[in-house]
Amino acid sequence: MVYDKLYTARTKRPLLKSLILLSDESPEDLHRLVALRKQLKKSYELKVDSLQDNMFLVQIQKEVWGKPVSGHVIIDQGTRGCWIAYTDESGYFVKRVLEPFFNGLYPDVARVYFNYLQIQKFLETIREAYQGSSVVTYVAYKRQPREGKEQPKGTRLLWELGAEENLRKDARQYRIWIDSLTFQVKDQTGMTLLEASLTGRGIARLRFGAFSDFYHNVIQLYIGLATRWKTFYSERERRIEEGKVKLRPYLLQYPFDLEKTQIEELIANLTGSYSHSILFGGNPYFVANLTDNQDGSSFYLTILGKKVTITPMLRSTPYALWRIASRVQRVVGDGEILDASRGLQA
Amino acid sequence: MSADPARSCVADFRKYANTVMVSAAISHLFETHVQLGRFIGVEHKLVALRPDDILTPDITTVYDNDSKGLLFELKYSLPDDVRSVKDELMKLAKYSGAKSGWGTKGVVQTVDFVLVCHIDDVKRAVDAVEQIFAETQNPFFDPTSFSIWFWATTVAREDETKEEMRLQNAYGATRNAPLQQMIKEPGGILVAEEVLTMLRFLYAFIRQKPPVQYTIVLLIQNIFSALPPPLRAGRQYYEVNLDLVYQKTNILFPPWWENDIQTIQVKRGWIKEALDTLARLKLVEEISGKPDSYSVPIPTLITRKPLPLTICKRLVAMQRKMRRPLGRLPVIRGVPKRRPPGVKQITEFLGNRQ
Repeated sequence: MVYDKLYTARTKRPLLKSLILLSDESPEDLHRLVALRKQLKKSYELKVDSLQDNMFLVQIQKEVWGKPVSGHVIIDQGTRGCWIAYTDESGYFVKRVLEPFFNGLYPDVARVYFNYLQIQKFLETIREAYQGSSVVTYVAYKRQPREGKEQPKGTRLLWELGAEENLRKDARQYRIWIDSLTFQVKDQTGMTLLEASLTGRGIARLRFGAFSDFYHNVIQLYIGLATRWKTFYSERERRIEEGKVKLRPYLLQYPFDLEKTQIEELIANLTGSYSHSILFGGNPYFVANLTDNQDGSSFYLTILGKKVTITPMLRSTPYALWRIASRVQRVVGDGEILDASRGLQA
Repeated sequence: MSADPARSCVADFRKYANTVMVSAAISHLFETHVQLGRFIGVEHKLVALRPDDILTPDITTVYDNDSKGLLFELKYSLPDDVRSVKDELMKLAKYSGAKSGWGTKGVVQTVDFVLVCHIDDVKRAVDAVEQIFAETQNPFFDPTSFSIWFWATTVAREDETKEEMRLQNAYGATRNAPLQQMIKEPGGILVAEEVLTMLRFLYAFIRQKPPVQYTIVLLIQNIFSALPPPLRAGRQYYEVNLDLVYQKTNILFPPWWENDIQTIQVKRGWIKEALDTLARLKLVEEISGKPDSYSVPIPTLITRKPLPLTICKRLVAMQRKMRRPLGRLPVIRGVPKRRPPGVKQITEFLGNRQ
């Protein structure tokens, strides 16, 4: 495979990026999906060619600060309900063109979001896949004292063996936001087999190593993780079964009490994307009904003590439920996501 | 009461939503504390003296081995004057006649009653019930078996930020001894965390009619938004009729309501009122020639402000417009500073009279 040759030689080149996306649509329909959105239609030029084996070559162009920026992406639709967009274009193209493009396709195409706990568990799976080799990790994340009211400044880097243990300690003292986790797999002789990184927004990057290894040991596992979490967020709508109302809420658990300033910040952050009505805007018990303006999903959000609980209503897609969890975490910090639906019926 | 009508409209919206929560809290209290007695149901049907005289209190419970009944009624709002509150409370006396339908093997000998209201209304409610009992000596309002509770939020300790919600006693008592002991504790009864965060969403309504803004917001946020197909590419219009909206709203009501023709009519009435008000607010359009049919735009209302506030502002503006007399408003002209040419001085008229 051509990528194997490219990424097993130490030369300066953009990393190979793989963007994990969730969609039940086909990349073949990208033109139609773009035509439905005024903003995307105005800003992007698109060319889609079908390759073999559920693969599509997409050329995307957008004007950034008055200059056209374009690049190629291969979209792999081999896994049902999942798109993997591969590109070896620059990071600038990915950040300025590709990510905003896919963000604009919501809810037909949805991004994923993993917090530090999910990424940590994922790393354990990679360790199992590379048994016998040593895995060195570097973590980039933002942290803020719990009582801090301003946005966190700068990215903190932990660049040492077992960096995630230090991250775990920080998570007990600070509000944290994972940025990326880089890992290096070395064999018993100390030779590097793989150097790759993962971001919380579902991007896996290959710096060095065989693409086939990267695909089997990282991408496939990452897809598995995304699919498991999609299942977690699925079928949570309010239902009546055998004459009883059934709720399937989930919650974000924090190691600290959430404060009024964080609630205010959260509401300010959500107002652009969600219609909202506040049922209880206390200090700091908070209850609101939110409706995703793009997707039509609706849910109740409550904040009390260390918990943020999301109770889905009549229409609640997994994409919308994943998105609200991600939006809450982007403001409040990474939390532990748990099912809260046991025995909730009347 | 708030001077700004839009703000008091939003306050009513919240009061109703939180009264629904209190209903869930009381049901949960009986389900989790067996010593308090047995929870029979929400809006359970009881029969008074005549078999066609059906009573449906908000919450029905029995205690002391099913021999005694305890009923709860929730009011999200009570009238502003004590006289009207008295009229409202007098209607509750009908529950003293709840003879059968308790679902117990033996006879329910006594019926105690708890009225739960908002803290803003509790003083008027207590004044009203005291006056009623003094004037009528009706044993139903006897403070040994009739009580008034209210709900309030508190912070547990000064060094903690976590809020609590508690039910507290404001008047009278109940003969359910364990329950009376709980409510008389300093701070009253603590509402369980799972009620505040999840169980409050099991239902969206209590038996008391919601304010129209509550039903409107519920329809826009949870019913219209779920109309298929998913929304995209700007605003789309859907033709819906009352039956369809009612059917979709059904999941928000307690399911046992469905079996009763009278309550179906009540529910449909609330939905119809909300749809007609939405049409008057020009947020949906009535379809001419098709009764009870509406064209609903999705998204129905896009705003960065809280939806209840936006709806309430529109409702207030609409009411002001309706109160204004038809036709051109009379113009009050000021007195001209200079006498127009050709107009005689007033002294001339006075001179003629003399």
